[in-house]
Amino acid sequence: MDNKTLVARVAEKMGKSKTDVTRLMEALAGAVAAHCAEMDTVALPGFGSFVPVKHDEEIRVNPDTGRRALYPPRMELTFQASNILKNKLK
Amino acid sequence: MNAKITLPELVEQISEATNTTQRMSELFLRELLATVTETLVAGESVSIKDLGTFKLQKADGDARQLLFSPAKKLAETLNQPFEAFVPVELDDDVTEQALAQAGGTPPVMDSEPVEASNQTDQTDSAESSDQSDLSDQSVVSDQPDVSDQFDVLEHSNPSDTSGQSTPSESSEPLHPEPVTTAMLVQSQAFPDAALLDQVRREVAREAAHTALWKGLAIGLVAGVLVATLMMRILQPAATGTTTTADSQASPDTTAVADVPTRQAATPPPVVTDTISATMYLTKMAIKHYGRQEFWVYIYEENKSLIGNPNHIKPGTVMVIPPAEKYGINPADPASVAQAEKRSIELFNKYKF
Repeated sequence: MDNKTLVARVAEKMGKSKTDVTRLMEALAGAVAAHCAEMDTVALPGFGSFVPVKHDEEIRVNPDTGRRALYPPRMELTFQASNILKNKLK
Repeated sequence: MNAKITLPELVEQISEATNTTQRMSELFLRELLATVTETLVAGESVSIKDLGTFKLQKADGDARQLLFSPAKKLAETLNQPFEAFVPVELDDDVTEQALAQAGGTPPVMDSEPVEASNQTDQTDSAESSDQSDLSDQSVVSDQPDVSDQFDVLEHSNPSDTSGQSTPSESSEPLHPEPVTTAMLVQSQAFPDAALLDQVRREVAREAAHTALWKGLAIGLVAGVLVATLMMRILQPAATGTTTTADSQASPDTTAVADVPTRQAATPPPVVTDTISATMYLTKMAIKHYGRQEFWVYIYEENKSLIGNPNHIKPGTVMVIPPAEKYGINPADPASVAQAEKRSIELFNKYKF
């Protein structure tokens, strides 16, 4: 299901217009992004949490050449599903 | 940082951003999550714009695992503090221990924030509190503040800084290790991009220094070897089979009795090239012959070593045949056409 269909479904359920729902979605995405940039986890009950994980710089070996390189630190946004959701998906 | 944001907070932020009631935002969130859950339970993946995609993957047995991949824009925004960095290749003698050890001897001045927090027990309390305040600020501000702090430290602890190396290029190549970003990270949330940059430049500089010494040493050894070879050629003790390298090195004017035997057909030097991710058959063809179509002849020459020309192991040494051997002429369209024909034959055989 792509974003468009999702917006349509939610708008239908809520009885709101698609533009309103789109704006709400954008606000949600923005809020999650802002929190994760501050290294805060966002917990959605019954669904899961968005957890930002910071990876330190590390030395990796290129399997082809055998050369080592220092890879810079990076931030990864992960999602940890709640048990309720996991049980539903089983 | 490391805080857990709950639903009510999120609701408040959304309603503030969209100028709607809190009830509306909460309703929206609940409906959205319900729809996403429904869709996932039905087995379909869901993607949310600027957030990411939730996908289901079949795990062991019938169990399904939920996977989330963040949207590209979001990932980029999150990694903005690190966008200045690229992977840096390491020289062989920059060991892991060298990089991991931060210790109290950072040669670079932008490591001062870390040093300040580490040496609090060595400085008097008033100064150290100033420095740690400064260190917190210096992360956010630019370089000049850091250099000021460096001066302050120098004045206050002559005994501590004297033992450290100066941040100059003329330091010994195998000098104590630079500070890593790992250490910087421990004291603040995100290391300053400029600080990290300096540290990594230092690593590269150290690596370059050791590389220079290694290069000089290898050059010296190589020079000695070449000299001995020359001696052997000019005044051979016994006649032996000459290698192509030797015959290459032998000068034309030699007043030695072995010249007649040497002059008998010195074979042309064998040209080789090595396969890698960045150097493949077509590239080799362009490099040696001028057109990529002639890769087929390089393949022909080395058929015994390789099967499928698309699957050649990196590191394989390929002999590049001389152009005359297969009638390679980049300027002649007939020659090119023939090479193309051969490539089609190979394509039919290996289906690449």
